Amino acid sequence: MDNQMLLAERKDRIAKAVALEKTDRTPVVLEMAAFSARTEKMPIAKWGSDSLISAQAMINTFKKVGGADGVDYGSLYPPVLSLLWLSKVKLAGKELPEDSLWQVSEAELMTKEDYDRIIAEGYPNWMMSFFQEKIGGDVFQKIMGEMEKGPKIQEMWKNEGIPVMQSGIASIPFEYFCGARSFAKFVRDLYKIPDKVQAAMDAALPFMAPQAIQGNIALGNEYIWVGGWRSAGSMLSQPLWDRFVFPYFERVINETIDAGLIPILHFDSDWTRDLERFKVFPKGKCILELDGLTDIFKAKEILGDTMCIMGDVPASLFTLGTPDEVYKYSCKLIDEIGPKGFILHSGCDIPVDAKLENVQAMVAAATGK
Amino acid sequence: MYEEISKALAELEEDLLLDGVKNLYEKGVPVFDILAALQKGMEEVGKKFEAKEYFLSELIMSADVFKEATGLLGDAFAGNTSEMLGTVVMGTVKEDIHDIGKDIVVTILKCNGFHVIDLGVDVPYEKFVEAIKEHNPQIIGLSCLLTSAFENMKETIVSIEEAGLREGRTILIGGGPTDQKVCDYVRADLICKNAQEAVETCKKIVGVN
Repeated sequence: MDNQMLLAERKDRIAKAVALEKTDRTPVVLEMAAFSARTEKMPIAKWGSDSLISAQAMINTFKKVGGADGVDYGSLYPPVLSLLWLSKVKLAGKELPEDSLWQVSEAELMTKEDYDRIIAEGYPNWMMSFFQEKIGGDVFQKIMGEMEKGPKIQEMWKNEGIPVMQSGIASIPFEYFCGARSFAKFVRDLYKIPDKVQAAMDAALPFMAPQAIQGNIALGNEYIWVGGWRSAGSMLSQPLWDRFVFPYFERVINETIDAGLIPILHFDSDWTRDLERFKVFPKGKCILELDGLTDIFKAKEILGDTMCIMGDVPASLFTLGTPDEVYKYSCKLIDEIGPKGFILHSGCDIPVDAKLENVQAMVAAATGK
Repeated sequence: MYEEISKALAELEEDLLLDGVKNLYEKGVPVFDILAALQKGMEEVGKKFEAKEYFLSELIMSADVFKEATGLLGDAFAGNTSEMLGTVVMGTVKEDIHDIGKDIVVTILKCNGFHVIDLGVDVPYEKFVEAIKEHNPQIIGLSCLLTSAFENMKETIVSIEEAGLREGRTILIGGGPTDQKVCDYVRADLICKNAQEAVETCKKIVGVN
């Protein structure tokens, strides 16, 4: 089969799972970043220096793993995480040794006064000046430069017959503010100045999705990540979550669906308490991607008729487990979450020090090879 | 009045709590009686967490309010370790700089009556060893967020053992990717999945509850 036929077959398999239709077998998708540096025996500093380098390493790793149906994203330039967390990112070869994993350095970069600035100046203006002042204009320029490589990277994957699901992430104001304020300080704001935080969130909300939607459509993607990590129910009491989290996700998710994209709800941490709330979205139009902390079996029970579930082989199993253990857990997922409406996947990223044979075991559980 | 203080803390009623504490302190009520009432309030917060009425956000807020209340007690509270439940040495292991989860656990343990030595992040093995020699803790807490730090967690424990300092102490681990498999691999004693579990576990270890 040539690569373009293979691409179409893989895309179709994923699309059917998303639409909750019958598939010839369970699709399996890889989410990998630094793991591909290790499999290519490349220092992380070099791997993360250029999106084209990380993309090529990921393609090579995809082939070494063998048999998967796609990837969540096709390259990673680690400084881009600064845009997601509104925080500084410590990098290999700079603040960290050559072969160290990048780390988000969460600190109180945003002050309480910034809420007023967001309301007065508008979110985009505030964000640009905040980034320049607190994180660095040079970082922003480099990220923009790397983004221009997007079409080339899409082409690289397409030529290999491998679907890249998405290339740009949308989230809610909670996540950006929480990253920039730091978690404990932000939680205090939610208690002490809730009206001001909400006003700033409302001012930021219209700017959360459009750019990521346009970026994904321009690159020919059919999916988009909608990310949540600190806004999980395990972090917040119900009244806070109901006020500061769900209404914002509802708007962002609906905007992505209205734009013709399938949102991949990339939800880290434990969302079990609030799964019921996500039943409001149209059937077969979302993917729920879990990292092992949400009860995936409960998710199937509650949301299995509404959306495709994706997950959740745990990071520790990839790192410390055996191929047999990974295979058994993956088969359990396929049996109990599948056969319809399920995509086998790691719990969040495949970790940097995952054993290659363990990743191969996950894929083999889906392909039967 | 003591009960009102405990209740105000448990309900996160900051103004009510601060007024109550100030009142008692000005009347000359012994500081440790006030502190006992505050800690009872923290226990109530813990129970609400267990009952899934409170979540991490409320643990953080309760610690914040507790800190403000004890701030009213002047030097009598600060620095006195003789009335503490026990000593915990805690840090994020070498080559991992994540501090959010570790900081929350440190704060909550302190509010619940533990003397906590916080070694910070990216803590070298020898720094744990030195701190254990100096502070003689019953409990050692190791945190990490990166799977690549598992090896350093393991090596930290090896260093503690090689220094002859493991016996008679309990080593706890915690952090995003840790689970029982990691606990077995690094040869720790127990894993704590969240801050409240860390409090309950530490209390059991020192024989409170």
